Amino acid sequence: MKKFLPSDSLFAAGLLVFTLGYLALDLTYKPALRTVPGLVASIMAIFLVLDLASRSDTAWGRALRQRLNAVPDRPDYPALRQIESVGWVAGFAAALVLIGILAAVPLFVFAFLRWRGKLGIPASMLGGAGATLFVWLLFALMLRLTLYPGLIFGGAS
Amino acid sequence: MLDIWLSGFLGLLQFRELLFLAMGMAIGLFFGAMPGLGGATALALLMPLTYGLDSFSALALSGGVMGAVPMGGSITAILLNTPGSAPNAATCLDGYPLAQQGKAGMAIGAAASANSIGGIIGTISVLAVLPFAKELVLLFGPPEFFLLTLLALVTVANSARGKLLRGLITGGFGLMISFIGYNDVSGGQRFTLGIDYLWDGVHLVPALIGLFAVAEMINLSVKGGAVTRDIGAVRITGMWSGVLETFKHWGTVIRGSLIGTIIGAIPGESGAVAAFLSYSLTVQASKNPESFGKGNIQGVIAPEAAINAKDGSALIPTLAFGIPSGAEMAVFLGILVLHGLQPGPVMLVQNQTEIYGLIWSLTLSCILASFVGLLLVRPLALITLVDSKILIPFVLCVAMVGSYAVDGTIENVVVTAIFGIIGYLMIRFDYPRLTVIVALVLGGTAERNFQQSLMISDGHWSVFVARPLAALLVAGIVMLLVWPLVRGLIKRRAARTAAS
Repeated sequence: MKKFLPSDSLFAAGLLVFTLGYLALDLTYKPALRTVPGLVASIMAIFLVLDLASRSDTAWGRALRQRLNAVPDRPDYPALRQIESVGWVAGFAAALVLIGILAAVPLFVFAFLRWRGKLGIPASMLGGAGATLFVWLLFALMLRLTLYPGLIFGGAS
Repeated sequence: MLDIWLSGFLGLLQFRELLFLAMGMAIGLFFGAMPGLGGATALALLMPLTYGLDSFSALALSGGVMGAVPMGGSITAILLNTPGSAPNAATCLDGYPLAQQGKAGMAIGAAASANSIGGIIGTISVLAVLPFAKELVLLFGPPEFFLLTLLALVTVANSARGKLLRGLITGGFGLMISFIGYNDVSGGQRFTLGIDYLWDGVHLVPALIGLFAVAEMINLSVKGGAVTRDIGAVRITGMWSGVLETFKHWGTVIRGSLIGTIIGAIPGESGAVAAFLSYSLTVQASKNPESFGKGNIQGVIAPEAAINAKDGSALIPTLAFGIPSGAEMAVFLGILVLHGLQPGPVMLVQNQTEIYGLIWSLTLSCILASFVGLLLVRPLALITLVDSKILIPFVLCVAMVGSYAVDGTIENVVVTAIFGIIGYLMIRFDYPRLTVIVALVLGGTAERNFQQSLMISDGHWSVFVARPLAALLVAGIVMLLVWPLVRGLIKRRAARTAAS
C-alpha cells in the first residue's frame, strides 16, 4: 500500500491557498463581476479538500482514491536538481526582462551548454552565437519584430 | 453544384496557383512548427504580400498556409512535447510518449495520414453542408454555447481515467485564471492586481508554451538523458507502420473528422476543443483506456483527424457570417476584405469559384504537408536522440522568444516561465494539464454565454433546458459526471460476484 508523505499534498495545499486568496479577492467586486468566479472557486475549494482527504490513510481517503482519485507512485528526484532546473528557466526569463533578448539569448545558451552540458568554451560560444543568429533572422529580420532591449537598456514593461 | 466544385478545383490546377499553394504550404509547415507563431502570424506576415495578387492566387496562398500549419505543429508536439499551437497540445499527450519509446516515426506517420484523411473528410462535409450552413449555425444560442463549453470541459476531465477529481481541479484552476481581466458583459476588471497587462487576461499562447514546452524541458532537465529512452528503436520503427495504424483505426479517424467538422462549424469554438473532444471521446470508447497518455497511437490519430477536419468547416461561419472561429480566421477575414471579398450570405452566392478554390487549396495543402512530413520523418526523429543538456537551451530560446513574439509584450515571457513551473509541478504531482488548456480557451466564452443566457431569460435558469438541444447537452454532462461512479460500482459488483 502506498504510504503518504506530507510532501505528496504540497501542490494541492498550494492550490487551496491560492483558491482561498482568489475567493477573498472576489468578495471585493460588485455582484455582477464576482458571481461566476466565486462559484467556480468555491467548487474548486471543495474539490481540493476532497483531493487532500484522498491523500490520507483513512477509510475516507481509501474510498475517494478508489472512486475518484487514483494516486500513483511517482519517481522521486533530488530536490536540489529540481530547484536548479527551475532556476535555469526563472533565471532566463529574468535575464530576458532585464537585459533584453539579444543579450540574454547568447548568455543563457552559452552558460547552459558550458556548465550544465559540460561542453568546451568554443562549442558553447558557437551554440550561443547560432541561437542568437536564428532568433535575429526569424524574429527581427523576417517578422520585423522589435526585439525587447531589456529594462536596464531602456525597455518599457 | 458539381460544376462549381469542379471549376474551383480546375482553377487551382494552374501552374501559378499551384506555386502559391506550395509556397503557402512550406510557410505554414515552418510557422506551425514554431511555438507561439502559428497560422495567424504567418497569414499576418503574408497579408501585405497578397495585395499584389489576384483574389484566387491570394486564397490559394492563404489556403496553403492554413492547411499546413497543423502538420507543422504536430511534428514538434510529437518530437519535443512542444505544440506549435493550442490544438496540437492534444497530440502531445500520446505522441510524445511514443517518441520517448523510440516510435517518433510511427507517430508522425500516423499524424500525417490522419491529417490528410481528416482534411479530406472535412472538405467533403463542408461541400455538403455549405448550402445549409445558416440553419446549422442558428441552432446554437448562448445557452447551447455555454452548455457545449461545459460538456467539453467535463469530457476532457473524464478522459483521465481514475483522475476525475484532479481533472476537475485543474479545469477549475484554468477557469479561475481565464476570469482574470476585463469582463465585457458586466463592464469591469477583476483579479488584475493593478497590472495593466492583465486587463486582457492571461494570454493563451504564452500559457500554453509554458505548460507544455517549458514544463517538459524542466522535466527533461531533472530526469537527464534524451527524449528517446530507447536509442535503437528510433531507426527501426518507420513511418509506414504509422500510416497503416491510421487505416487500422479507421473508426477513430472518422469519429475525429466528424467531431472536427461539427465543432469547426460553430462560431467561437476553437480547434483545441475539437482536438481535445476527439481525444477524450476516443479514450471513452476504447477497450483499453489505461493505455492512453502512455503512447497509444489512437491518441495521436484522434486529435490530428479532428484538427484538419475542423479547419475546413471553420470556413462556414467565417464565409457565411463573417464570424471568425479564431485568430487565424480573423486574419484571413482581413485578407478577404483586402481583396474586395465581403464575407456574408452574398459572398456564398457571388464568389462560389473562389470559395471552392479555397476549400480545395486547404485540402491539397494538408495532403501535400502530410507528404512532406512523411519524407522528413527519419531526419526529424533523430532530434529525439539529442542529449537533453544540448537540446534544452535551444528549445527554451525559441519558446520564450516565440512567446514574446505573440504580441510583442515582454510580460508574455514571465507568464510562460510561471506556467512552465506550474506545468512541471503538475507533471510531478500527476495532475492532468489538458483540462487547464481547455478551460483557459473556453472560460471567457463560457462566462459570457452564461451571463447572456440569464439576461435573455430575466434570470431564469430554465433557459438551460428549455430548448431540445440544450436539454440534450445537459443530459450529456450529467451522464459524463455520473458514469465513472456507475462504472466503478458495476466493476466492483462484477468482481464480488466473480469472487463469490
